[in-house]
Amino acid sequence: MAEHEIYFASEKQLRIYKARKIITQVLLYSFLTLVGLFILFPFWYMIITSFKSTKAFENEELSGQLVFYLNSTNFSFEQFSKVFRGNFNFGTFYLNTIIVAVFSTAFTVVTSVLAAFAFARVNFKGKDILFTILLGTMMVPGEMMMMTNYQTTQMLGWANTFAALILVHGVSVFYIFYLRQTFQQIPNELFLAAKVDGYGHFQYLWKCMIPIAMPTIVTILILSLMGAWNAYIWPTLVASGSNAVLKNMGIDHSMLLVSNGLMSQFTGEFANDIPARITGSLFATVPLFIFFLIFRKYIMRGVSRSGIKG
Amino acid sequence: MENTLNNNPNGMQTVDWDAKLESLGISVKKELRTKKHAFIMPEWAKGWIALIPALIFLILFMIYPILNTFVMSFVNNFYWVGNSGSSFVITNYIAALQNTRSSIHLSWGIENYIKVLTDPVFLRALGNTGLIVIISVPLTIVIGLLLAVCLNAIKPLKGLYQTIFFLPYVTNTIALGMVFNAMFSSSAGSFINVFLHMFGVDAQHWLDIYANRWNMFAVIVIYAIWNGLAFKILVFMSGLSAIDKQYYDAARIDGSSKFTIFRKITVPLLSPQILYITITSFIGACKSYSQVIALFGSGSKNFGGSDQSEWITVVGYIVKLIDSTADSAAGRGAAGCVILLLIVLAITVVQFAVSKNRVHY
Amino acid sequence: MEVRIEHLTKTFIGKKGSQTTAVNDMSFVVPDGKLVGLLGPSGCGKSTTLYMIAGLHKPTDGKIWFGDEDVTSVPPENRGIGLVFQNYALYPHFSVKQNITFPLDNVRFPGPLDANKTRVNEAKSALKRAMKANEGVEEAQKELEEAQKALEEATKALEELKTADPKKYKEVTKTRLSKVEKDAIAHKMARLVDIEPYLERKPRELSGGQQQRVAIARALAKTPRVLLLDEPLSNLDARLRLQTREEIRRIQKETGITTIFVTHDQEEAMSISDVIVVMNFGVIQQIDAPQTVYDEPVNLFVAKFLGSPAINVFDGEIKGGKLYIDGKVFDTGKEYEGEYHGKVKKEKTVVKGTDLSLDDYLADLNKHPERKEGKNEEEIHALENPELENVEYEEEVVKKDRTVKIGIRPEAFTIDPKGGVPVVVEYVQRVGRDVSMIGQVHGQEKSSLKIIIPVENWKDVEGKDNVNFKPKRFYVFEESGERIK
Repeated sequence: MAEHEIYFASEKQLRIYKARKIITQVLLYSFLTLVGLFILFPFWYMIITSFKSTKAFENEELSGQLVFYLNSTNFSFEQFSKVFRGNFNFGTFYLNTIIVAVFSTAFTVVTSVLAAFAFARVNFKGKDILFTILLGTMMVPGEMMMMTNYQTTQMLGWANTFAALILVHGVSVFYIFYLRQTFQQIPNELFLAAKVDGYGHFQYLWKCMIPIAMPTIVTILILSLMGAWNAYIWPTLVASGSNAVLKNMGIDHSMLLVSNGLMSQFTGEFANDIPARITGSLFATVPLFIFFLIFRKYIMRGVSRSGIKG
Repeated sequence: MENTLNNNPNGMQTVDWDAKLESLGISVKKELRTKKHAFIMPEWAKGWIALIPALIFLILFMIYPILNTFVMSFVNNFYWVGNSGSSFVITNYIAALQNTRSSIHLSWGIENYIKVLTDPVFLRALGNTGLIVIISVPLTIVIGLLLAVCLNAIKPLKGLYQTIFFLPYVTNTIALGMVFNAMFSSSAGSFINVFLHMFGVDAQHWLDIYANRWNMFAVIVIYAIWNGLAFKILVFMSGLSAIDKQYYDAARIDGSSKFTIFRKITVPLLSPQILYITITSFIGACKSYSQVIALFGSGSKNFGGSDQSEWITVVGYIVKLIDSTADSAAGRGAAGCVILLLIVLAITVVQFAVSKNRVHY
Repeated sequence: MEVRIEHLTKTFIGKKGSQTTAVNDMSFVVPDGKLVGLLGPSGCGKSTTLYMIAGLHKPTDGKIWFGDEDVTSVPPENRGIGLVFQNYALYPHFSVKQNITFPLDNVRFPGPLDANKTRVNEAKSALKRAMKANEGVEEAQKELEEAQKALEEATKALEELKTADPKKYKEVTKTRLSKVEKDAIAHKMARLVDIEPYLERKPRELSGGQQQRVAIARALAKTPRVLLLDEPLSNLDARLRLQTREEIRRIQKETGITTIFVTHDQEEAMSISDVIVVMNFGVIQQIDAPQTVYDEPVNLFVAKFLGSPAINVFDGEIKGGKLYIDGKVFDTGKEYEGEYHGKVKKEKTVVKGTDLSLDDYLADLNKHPERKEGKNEEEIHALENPELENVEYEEEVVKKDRTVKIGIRPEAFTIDPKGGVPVVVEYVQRVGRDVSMIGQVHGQEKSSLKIIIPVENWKDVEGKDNVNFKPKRFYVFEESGERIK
């Protein structure tokens, strides 16, 4: 309700109302700013620490004089060379992660679209039962499958391969369910119209359903990419060594991804070099941040939408 | 042929092509037809074709593992080895079918469950997980709700604040866990000790092996809140924006106070989102793992304290057993999984039951 | 294209095996170039009928003919139909133009050698058959040779044409529409339905009426043999409905395409159709020109379904071959002298699982003592005290004197002091040119009449409680609905 619509008995009351409103706003903004600082501070800390020399940082720590900004004494680029050498190599991590993210996302989208299409559009025996079973598995925590999947990948010889990282968790029941909901909202008549014009099921999927469901597919794409970037437990289990195939060819290619690559350094060469590790964190964070800034609208809309529908 | 040949003014003979073609069975004037499909696949076949790529992987990497975990959890002995360590894998089933290893006895029973439930480490994991759930989840939800309502009450800079609060969602849990690990290091000059020094508090051990159990817990909760707020705020915001403004206008005309409005209008109308967030957060917190190990650092099996399992969680306990070659590790891990599943199911059922009369769709 | 429907039946089988007959033994003919309205209340099977004609539903029984071609088992895309839906069913991600040309992406011209190739293939299979049967092999061989020769010649002629007249060759061998041609068709269709300025817009940027016109343009784009419209106006508001209705009529007249129009709105059907097919419960009630259906309804359902305000229906009585209203003779005629043969639903109590009453059952049991042999006491007790159930059954009745329904349309009343319909006036009002009256038939409190008379008669009814009317036209129906007069 706009302010001018409210009737006030006297000037005084209006003044009280206005004063109260200002105070509320001040309190609101102070509170939000405080929480905002709490949220932002770790990022700031990450950035400044990455630009400090290890020596300066250690001095600050020991002396109890932590400096929350950069100055001529603590500033240094030395950390950035550390994260691109030996087995702490963000070049490798990025490459691996991008390969896994792109292929697993493509795999997820293709399988989800097809399966959601079958569940939403095609009639066949056993569909309902199958769908109910799949929905039921959504209740089961992923850890439950981890044990056996670990053994299966070992048996298949998929240890330290991209296959283990891409295929094992490539199909998501949640995405199938989410996409099926979207597909089902497309009126049946559209399909009948296409059928009358001689378009088969798969042509209809390709020419109509996918373009119409594009916002949902983009959401899945984004969530899946982000998931691949942040994956930690599974990659640590199945791919923390070197790729065997490449090793045979004489190339020692580590299969570490961003998250577990970073984590592996807690015990590695830089176990005690905090700024080096923080720089690693920065490198793990920045690409996702850039991605977020570009697709902010899609990501926020997608996350909130999938959240409500899930 | 004569009538199909005309005399051209130029003297050249030209052909009346229309007539010639027609006589040869080639139609010149054509009628449009919708393309005929040579072969029409039955609908059920189309369904299965579309489903098979997903289904193969779901069966192999989801349905089978779930069933197998149940089976494993009830097998007491694992001398019956496939080609891959100490577990029950597809080859074992194949071997069993071919009856090639019939001389080996499988002993069935609930020994794994007994072992797990009497294991002090598992009990600690259970207690730790319970504490994390009970403390961090309600805190995060309340703060998230409060922030969402505050955000909804401002106009300028709303988008900026929303974006800032969303940032933790798009960060890597491990990476920021490492940052928190540094911020909460035990040296005098770590962020937290410097900060507390301003209030006259002495430097403390936070995450290292000398740290007090509850200091570690404080960091775990702070990181959980920092990490978990984003999603909750976003979901609450989208719920708030869907509430019809007329409700607020009506309440204000009735002279209700802001708190009454919040309690009587906002919360009930937001109840679907609150239920959703509560269930997902509780389940998520039950599966806490990465957040904790990221904070303690020193590898994927360190949960703090001198024995590296001070704040071990249920999932942490399971992960430790996955590639372990210890006696009946797989069976115990499977039993742990089943227990986790039961906990998750119980939470969901309880929450649906509790909320039945309080959620307004 | 004439459309003929013969004994069409559609039975849906529910999840638990229950059967619902949506369309029951339906036959009618849609003359070439006419617009037929399929009219009926919702759930009467009219849309199911339309979908069967479209090929989207498979008939359980019966045949559908397009001209001389039996299309009953032809898939929808090969029937040459255009279909328009209630909710427009436009593709939201396409522009209007893309929507219209979408059906055209899938149409082909037959290849130049198709006819010859088919002949060769047929000859080949004929030869195979002949060899198997060892009969007429020579003739078949000859035919095959001829066919192959014809194909060769045609191929050669085509080669010649390629060099002689490349332009013509291109035209003859063309199998698809070019983009230019498709665009031209889109423009032509858009002009026809008057949406040319909007070709580049997305459907959601158009009003409902415009969207529906796009849908019609799309349906017409591939020049269908039959145009099918499934409640095309129901999603539009009143004003647009009227406008689009006239538009559809105009387009149909202009193109001359045989059209079937499904609607539940009698006024719509009356104003647009050449012929109306009235349906109820999957059964055709009447097929006639709109005015005939209105003037000469074959049964009470049709009489009630057509006309707004609805026809007035009240009770009359047939006694001794005469029709009485309010105890007075209202009409005489041969029609009332006949007997009524009908069925009456009754209930009876029978032994469960049999068709026998309890007495008959016990008598039957006594006749067959062997049934009790070898049974213990309990079983014998159960045999002697069987479970009973109530079942419905129909009984033939023949009645001479009976109650009947009399129907009079609101505008068919004329004031006549000696008129046979005595009306107790409840409410009377002048509305523009009309006087609108609500009342009851004297002696029938449950009856509710709505009467419309010209305003000149105002003084005849003003302030009066009882007015006698003489209907210009009235219908007499049996209670079961059949028309008597």
